[in-house]
Amino acid sequence: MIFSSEIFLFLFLPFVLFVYYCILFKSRTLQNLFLLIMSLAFYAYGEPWFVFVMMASIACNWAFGLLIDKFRENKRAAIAIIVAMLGVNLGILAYFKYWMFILGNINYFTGSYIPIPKIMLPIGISFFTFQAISYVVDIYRGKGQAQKNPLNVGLYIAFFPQLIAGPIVRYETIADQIHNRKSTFDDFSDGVCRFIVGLGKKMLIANSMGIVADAAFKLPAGELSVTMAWLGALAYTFQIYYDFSGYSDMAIGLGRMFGFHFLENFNYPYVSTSITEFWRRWHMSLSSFFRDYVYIPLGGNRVSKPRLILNLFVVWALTGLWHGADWAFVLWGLLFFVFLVFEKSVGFEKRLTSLWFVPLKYVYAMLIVVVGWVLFKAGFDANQAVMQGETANSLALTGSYLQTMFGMSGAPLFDDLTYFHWHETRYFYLFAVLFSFPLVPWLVSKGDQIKNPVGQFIYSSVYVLLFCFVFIIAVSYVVKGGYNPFIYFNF
Amino acid sequence: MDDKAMSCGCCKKRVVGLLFSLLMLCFAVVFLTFAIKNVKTMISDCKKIYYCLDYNFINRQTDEDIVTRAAHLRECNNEVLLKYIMNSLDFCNNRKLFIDINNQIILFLDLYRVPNNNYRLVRLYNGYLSVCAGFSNMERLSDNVINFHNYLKKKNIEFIYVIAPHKNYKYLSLQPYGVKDYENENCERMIARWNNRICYLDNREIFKQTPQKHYDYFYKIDTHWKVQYVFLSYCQIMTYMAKQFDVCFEKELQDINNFSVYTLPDRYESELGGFFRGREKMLYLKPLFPVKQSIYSEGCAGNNPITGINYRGSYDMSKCDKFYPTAYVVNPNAANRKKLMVIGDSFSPQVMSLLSLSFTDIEFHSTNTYEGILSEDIERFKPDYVICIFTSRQVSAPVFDSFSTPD
Repeated sequence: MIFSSEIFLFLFLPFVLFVYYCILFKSRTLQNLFLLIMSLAFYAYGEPWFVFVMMASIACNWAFGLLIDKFRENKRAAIAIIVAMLGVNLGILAYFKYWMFILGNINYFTGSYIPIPKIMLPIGISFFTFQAISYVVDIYRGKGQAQKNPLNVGLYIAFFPQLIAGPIVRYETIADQIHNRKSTFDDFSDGVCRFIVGLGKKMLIANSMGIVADAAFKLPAGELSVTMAWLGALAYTFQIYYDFSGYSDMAIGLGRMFGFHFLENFNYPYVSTSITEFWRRWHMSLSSFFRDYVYIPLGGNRVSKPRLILNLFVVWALTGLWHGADWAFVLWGLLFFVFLVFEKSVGFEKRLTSLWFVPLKYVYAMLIVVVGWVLFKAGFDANQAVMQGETANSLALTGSYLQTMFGMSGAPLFDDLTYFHWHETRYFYLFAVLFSFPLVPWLVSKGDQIKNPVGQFIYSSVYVLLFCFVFIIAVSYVVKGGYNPFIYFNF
Repeated sequence: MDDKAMSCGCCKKRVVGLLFSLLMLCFAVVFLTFAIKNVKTMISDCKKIYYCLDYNFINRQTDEDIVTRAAHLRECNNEVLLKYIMNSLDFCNNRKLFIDINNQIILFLDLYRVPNNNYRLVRLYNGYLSVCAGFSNMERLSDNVINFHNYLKKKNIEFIYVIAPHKNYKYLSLQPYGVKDYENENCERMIARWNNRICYLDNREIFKQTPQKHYDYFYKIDTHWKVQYVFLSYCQIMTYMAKQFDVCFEKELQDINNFSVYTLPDRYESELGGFFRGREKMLYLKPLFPVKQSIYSEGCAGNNPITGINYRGSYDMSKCDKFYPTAYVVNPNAANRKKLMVIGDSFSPQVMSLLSLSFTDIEFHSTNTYEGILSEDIERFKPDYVICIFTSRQVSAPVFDSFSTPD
């Protein structure tokens, strides 16, 4: 089940909100139990048997949580429990997500013919596995109490807003909120507004960009013109941002509707003027997870320079690999590793700080990001092909696409297909560019400061009407059906 | 931000929250009311979902099942749950309202691509909706048709392949610049591959000299042709058969003025109405002279006997839609005491109905839902003629698969 579907919007969500607030409002325990049941039903809707994998993960991690809480002071026992916990969680991830990739590489490098089983990937496994790891580690670090009731652990791990597409919610963020959250109407309204923004981003901008991106990346190399290649690359850049941030907005909004406060996941990453800044703004829950659970335990930056580079290499290789089982994703992660090391070593952020250099730095950062997304998309398409029983070479696809983009393949500059796609999406590109900048928060802050009562009334009315407008238009696209991809099946 | 600004910020968000809550409450109440009234249906629907789970798990035979398993379950869930959503959405006619809103956006932004589920749907320059076909080398269908023709030849059965016109006309293409629609090109590829081995009639030539008329005789939103175009196709077929096979084509059947065009109150062409609202009344032809016919569907569709409604009475073209996907039509007073088998896609039922004015016995199979084995049906029915009526969009009509050449 996805948020931008009729079943979720007109059946699941109304039913859950109604029962949660109108029937179970007196008992927090029953509310939590109901949310857990509905979260499992939400997951089981598309993955009926994998819900048992998730329930097994919940049970194991609940047990690990209790054990680590008991043996926290005994360092050896604690380490053994952490290792066992990592073994179980990463073992599940390794089997379902990476086993086919591992065997494929063994066959390729050793020339053997080990049969590769077709393993379906449970949706959201990367997210709920990382959350499970966070649960046990945060208890060990004393950042939250171990839950005696496994249902509360279940709720933390399986809560439907962030189950299939994040953000990765750390246990320390949510530990207290499981029992002690306050559901106010202001929070609910905040959540609604956030949800509508997310739905609008996904249905109006991300999906429209996705059509162009898919059209460009599916074209054989001989039929792709230079401008179409750029149009497709930019379209994918916007698609992945608006889809992912839209989903995060919907997840945060839904959490707020039930009184949970999740941390932000995106902070206008496309205003960045360096790769370092980009990763401070993009998928913040993932980057902070790797920082706190991998980078810092490895020593962080309080080590020698060679060790620092090695730490960064490990973190970014894993970051890439987390996104999918393909070398394209690993290379994508390492691409950022290279530029991050470069920026760190030259002190990039402290240099060229004059306003004149900002556009240049912006172009530099965005160029690397866009090229990175081409690599990412190739890996994504290759994964999709593998799931459909086909083969694809993501690196070859990336190479030929980038050659076309930079005019090195002899492709024509322009073609009629580019014209058509540009004509169909020109307004969406405009909105995609505009909303990449924090224009709306700036406008809202200005509007909130209007002192004139008439002006304030007009502003508030326009605000409400805009939200209604965005919701209705987004829902019209949901009802009509059409291109509405779920791009998180890799995760 | 000062307190007053914060308070104003909260107020407008509360309004949005309130409106949303009311909407959710409406949907929840409608759903629960429906559920309570239909407890038995809900229980049976839950069982249906459970059986889908069983099917998906227990019956998994091969690794290919893994790929289709989740899709099948989602289909099952959608089928079961859709009626609850439909119930909620159709409350206050919401679904049509949302489709209208979406259409207005498309028109306002002057977009040509129409959001839809399965079709590559565009608005032509004249505002008509059209489906775009992807590229196909048409090898498989072309070869299957050749093999089918050879099979019929051995049985001394005459065979005609009728190419129904694509909405985006070969002689006046109105597709938006940049849109690739290969339907007419695919058709040319198929004809070239036949290399004069197949006897075919190309309905696309009918309006070659007056291409604008082609669009006048297509529904605006639906992909199908209007009954006037159907009549012209029928005339082309009968004229050809009269010339080649000594078939009688009565004079009164050659003039459309001997027919009246009518509509039915509850019949619409709306194949694409779910994506671009605006149903158009389906048109039918009725001869102004009396014709008796019988239509029934016993013994049709291969091994799957379908017990439809039997009809005996005056000629009624609309009955052919009702018996679609399969029909057996008898017209005892037709000029040609011959058996005709018609195989076709959704463009063919009305053509078949007109052909029943000229032939005493017709058996019709729709390729969209045909589950029988064509050679067995031909053995049983023993037609004198076989006519296939297809648009070139049918790049892989499964009905001919039994005649495919092994790889």
